Amino acid sequence: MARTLGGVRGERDRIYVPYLLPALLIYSILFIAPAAVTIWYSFTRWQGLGTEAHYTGLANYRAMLSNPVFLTSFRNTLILVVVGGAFVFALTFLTMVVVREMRGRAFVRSMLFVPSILSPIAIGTAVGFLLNPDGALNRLLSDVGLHSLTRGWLGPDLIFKCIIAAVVWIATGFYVAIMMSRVDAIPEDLYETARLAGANRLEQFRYITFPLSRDALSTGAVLWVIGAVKTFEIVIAFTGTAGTPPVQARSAAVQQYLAVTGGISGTPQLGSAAAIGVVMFLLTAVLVVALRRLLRSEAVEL
Amino acid sequence: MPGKLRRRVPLAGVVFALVAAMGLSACGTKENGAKTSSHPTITYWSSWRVGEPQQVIFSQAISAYEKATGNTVTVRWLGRDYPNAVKNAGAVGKAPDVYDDASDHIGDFRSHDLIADLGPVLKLAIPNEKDTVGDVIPASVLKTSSDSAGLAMIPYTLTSSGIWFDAATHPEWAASPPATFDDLLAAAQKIKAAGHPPFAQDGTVNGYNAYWLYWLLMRHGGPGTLAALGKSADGWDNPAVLAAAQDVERLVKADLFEPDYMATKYPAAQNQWAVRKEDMNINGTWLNSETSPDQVSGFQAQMFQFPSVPGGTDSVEVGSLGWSLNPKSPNLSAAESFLAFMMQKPYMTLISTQALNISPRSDVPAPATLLAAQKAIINAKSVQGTDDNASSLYSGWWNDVFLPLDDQLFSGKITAQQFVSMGKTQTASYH
Repeated sequence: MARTLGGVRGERDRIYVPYLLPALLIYSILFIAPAAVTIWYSFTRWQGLGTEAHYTGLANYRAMLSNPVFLTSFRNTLILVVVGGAFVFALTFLTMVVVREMRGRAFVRSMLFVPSILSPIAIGTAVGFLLNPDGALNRLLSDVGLHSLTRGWLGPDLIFKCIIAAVVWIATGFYVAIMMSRVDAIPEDLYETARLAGANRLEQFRYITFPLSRDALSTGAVLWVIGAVKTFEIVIAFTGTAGTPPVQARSAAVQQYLAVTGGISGTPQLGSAAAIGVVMFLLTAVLVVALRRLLRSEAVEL
Repeated sequence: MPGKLRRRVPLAGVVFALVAAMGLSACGTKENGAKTSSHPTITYWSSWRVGEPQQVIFSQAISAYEKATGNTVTVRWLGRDYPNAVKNAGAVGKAPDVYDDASDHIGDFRSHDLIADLGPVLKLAIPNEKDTVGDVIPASVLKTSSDSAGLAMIPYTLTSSGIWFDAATHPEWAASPPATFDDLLAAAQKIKAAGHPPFAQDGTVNGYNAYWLYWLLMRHGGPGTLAALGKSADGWDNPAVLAAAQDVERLVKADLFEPDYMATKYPAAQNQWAVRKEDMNINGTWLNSETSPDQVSGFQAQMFQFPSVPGGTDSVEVGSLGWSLNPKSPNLSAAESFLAFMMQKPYMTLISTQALNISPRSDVPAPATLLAAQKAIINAKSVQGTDDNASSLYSGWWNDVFLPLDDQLFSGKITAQQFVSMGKTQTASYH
């Protein structure tokens, strides 16, 4: 009897297999197989389709880790993730405090979102207009008597700081939109009660808004990490395509792009590019797991 | 393009071709599916886009070729991303018969086994002329269109680089440019003393910054000196390297560029040169056509060769854009005759008069702004490829070692001595 029951349950448990198979197949073809191929190519020297890939073991990884330029690009990526992320979420929280009760807040949110939808080409053009040595920013500073603050903003010393500022400017509106959609769902009577209890705006944020939007913060932070590790087009927008970006401005994704294309007139090094891709994936995975653990919390029922 | 083929071939011919193809499929279809009739269809993939002067010129020539031979040419105007299209097609046996190439891409196409030996094309007579292809192209140009395996492409445009100036402001340089690097610095100092920055430099383009060191390496050590730096750490022991770096250091210390030149985003500096804010710009032969919309009235762009150094080498840079042939093409001999047809003087003249570029034919004068460059190329005793071919031969090293170090030297962050010792160490660890 028990055997029969077990057999029925076993069959019932296995019935999902044919239903799962198409999705599993598609996922394997579109995601798992390319990932496996990428990992394989990261152990080879390969110049692309039509050429033979030569197995080189860990040579690409060893070369990467002993290449000061790659290490700089990796450090830049980490700085972007951490410092850029700190600015993005600090500004997002500040906006949540200020904008929640503001009149016309939908308009403000829309305005903050605009940089997210701008084309990098438009940003690149604006960068030249604004930040060149005789650009609008330096002219404005000179006109208002702050000539001592004028700088070569796009020079090797400052360009990466400018890129971080631009990333923060572009991304903040997106995270404000995500977080505010959660904040909008918090019942107003919680804030009313808090106000009656004498809580100021900061206290309302600390005791109501932040705890009740923590799950959205967790999602937003993961999205930020995934996006920031792949930072690419904004670097190109700042540095242009006439040359290769200066080392000070390179992210890991830019370094990967240079390996894929060989630079302006070089030969692609797709094995190295694949190795950089694997390292970027591992970095993303580690950061996402760490963030999920850090921001783990019980869902709050309202 | 298949439509074009249908219009040209009568119905009976199509039926015959179909039957023949079905019956003789083993020998009737080649790598790219082209038919092997007496009037083959040649496929050509181009780096130009519809509407560009070169596209207009080539379309005209192709129409004339089809009319003259009965052959058909199917063209894809792909634009600048053509190398990937050609390489990907080559990987699956569908590369075009003819495609655009550039001297700094030869190595890449060669590694994909996409380059046929074009030596036989040089012996072909150019239609309607008494000369062969080899007769009209200078030896210096053929050298930089070749690699160690042979002639890789038939050039249709030449490029070079040098120091650009406005001949209306500086007629003295048109007649007699600065002869030595010291003369150039002295001339620049004089301009600076008069309150004008002498050199415009788009310093955010590291490849443009590298022009200075590249040229000084060519002058002090001759062609091959820069490529040797990428090949092995030993190349850095050549005394010419330190001498060239010391000249760059002198140039930087003399403060002869526009303020904050390292922060100037392309094309701001070259456009400032075009409105006479600065007097000179080191750049490629394309600078005049790039800046002509911005040039002030009366501006006469001209270029002189990079000046000499005592006891050095006066080589000339020759880069080229041209046509390569697919070695697996079923229409190789037709494609070869197509290239000979394209080299006719009227079409190569249009390269000069319409596209405003230097034609590879020594009997076609370059545009006035580039006459000096063309003369230098034709008379060159010693030539080097663009960037001494270092950027294409050792692209990873070029992007990760040479350009970053050169930017440090060119921005005054490191001395010439530091440049050489860091370059040697980094090159050794890169390899």
